[in-house]
Amino acid sequence: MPYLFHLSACCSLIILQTTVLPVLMPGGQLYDLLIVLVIYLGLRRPLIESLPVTAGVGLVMDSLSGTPFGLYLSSYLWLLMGITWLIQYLHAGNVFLLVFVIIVGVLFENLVFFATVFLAEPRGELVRAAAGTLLSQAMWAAATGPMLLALLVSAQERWDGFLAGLSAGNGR
Amino acid sequence: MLMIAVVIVMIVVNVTVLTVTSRRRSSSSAASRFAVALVAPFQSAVTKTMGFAGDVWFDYFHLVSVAKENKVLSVRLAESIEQNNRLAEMELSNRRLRYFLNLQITMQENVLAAEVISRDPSPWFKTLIIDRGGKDGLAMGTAVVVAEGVAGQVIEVSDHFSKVLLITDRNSAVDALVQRTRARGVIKGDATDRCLFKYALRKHDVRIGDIIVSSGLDGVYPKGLRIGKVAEVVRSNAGIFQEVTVTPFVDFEKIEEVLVVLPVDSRETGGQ
Repeated sequence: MPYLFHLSACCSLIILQTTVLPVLMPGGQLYDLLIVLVIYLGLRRPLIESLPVTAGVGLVMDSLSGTPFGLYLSSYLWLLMGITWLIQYLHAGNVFLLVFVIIVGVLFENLVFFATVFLAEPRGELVRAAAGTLLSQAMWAAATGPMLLALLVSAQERWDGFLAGLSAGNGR
Repeated sequence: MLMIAVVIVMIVVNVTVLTVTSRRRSSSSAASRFAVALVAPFQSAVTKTMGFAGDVWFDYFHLVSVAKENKVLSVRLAESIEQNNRLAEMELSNRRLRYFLNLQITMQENVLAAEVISRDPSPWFKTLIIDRGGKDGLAMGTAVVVAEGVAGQVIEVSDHFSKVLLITDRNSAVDALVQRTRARGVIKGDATDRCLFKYALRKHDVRIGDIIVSSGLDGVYPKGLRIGKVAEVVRSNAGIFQEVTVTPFVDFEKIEEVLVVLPVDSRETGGQ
């Protein structure tokens, strides 16, 4: 049943990112919203639950995008592993830490993608374009990432409460 | 130490796998087609809903008659631009001497309109998903154009949806020539909003403002379709090619509908 929530969240974010936001914000300067989902899964869900969801969403994004197959999958899995390792040493509830982690996640994914493009054909214009894109996405991530993360946490808690109520009702 | 070694091995394996997959562009796996077929209907529904809501707002609440007139005039202007370009091509071709008696003139292609339902989520790669697929006669390598010029080609096909690689993507290549001087080269995307006109010999005359059109020699795009305008020309002292930057005529951020140039066998079967 928790996978139903994750499936809904993934579908909603993918459609929002590929269909709605390109119309409202042309130019591709908004960050990958699924990075926040991966960070949420790494912080709040057990690995046995977060790993297949992360792999699944990575495969779907690779299918929908023109990237080399496996690039999104690799980025998300490395991000998940990094988050899982990091929370062993840091307090996951700190707001400033969350903002920092989201920005680092966005920059990490973009640097991986940029490296893929740049290594194929090194050009100075790409570096200038990359700097602008990275700055724009980092700013958007800092401004909206924590809100999206809080929304996911709240939605998950409501879903868990709904399931608990169903179970209690069935138990009577 | 063991953990570090494991991480290093995983990184090496990951980079190797990505290097292999990035070179194998031609095949589209069943999993990829399944993912597109799974998500694309939702994207199509949301796009149509947004389009309907936008139409209602724009048509009925904000300058009704002006909006209608603007749409009509925009279509007429696009048709006039394309017709003007075709006439320019015809004029240039009539001036050249032709030694071959069985010259085949390019006829107007059979095209199918399609709507863009989603865009590439990454700013580093340029693709679209359209609401036409194999059932409509599309195949891999099918050319996709708009009134302003060449947009891209189909790289993945499922039954009802297809993925289009835009000419601004780094993996795209279009055989092209300068309309004025017929200097030949290849239009390649460079992951920004512009393209590079590569392999143009230094001895050929290419100037800022020249129009680049498709040559038809790659077997994908019909001949004479507008691609872009030369924005920068750099002739270095070394090398046999000049570096030419081209600004595409098409505004890829605003594409909503495209035209798919159906393959010959699809045309013969009616595209069904």
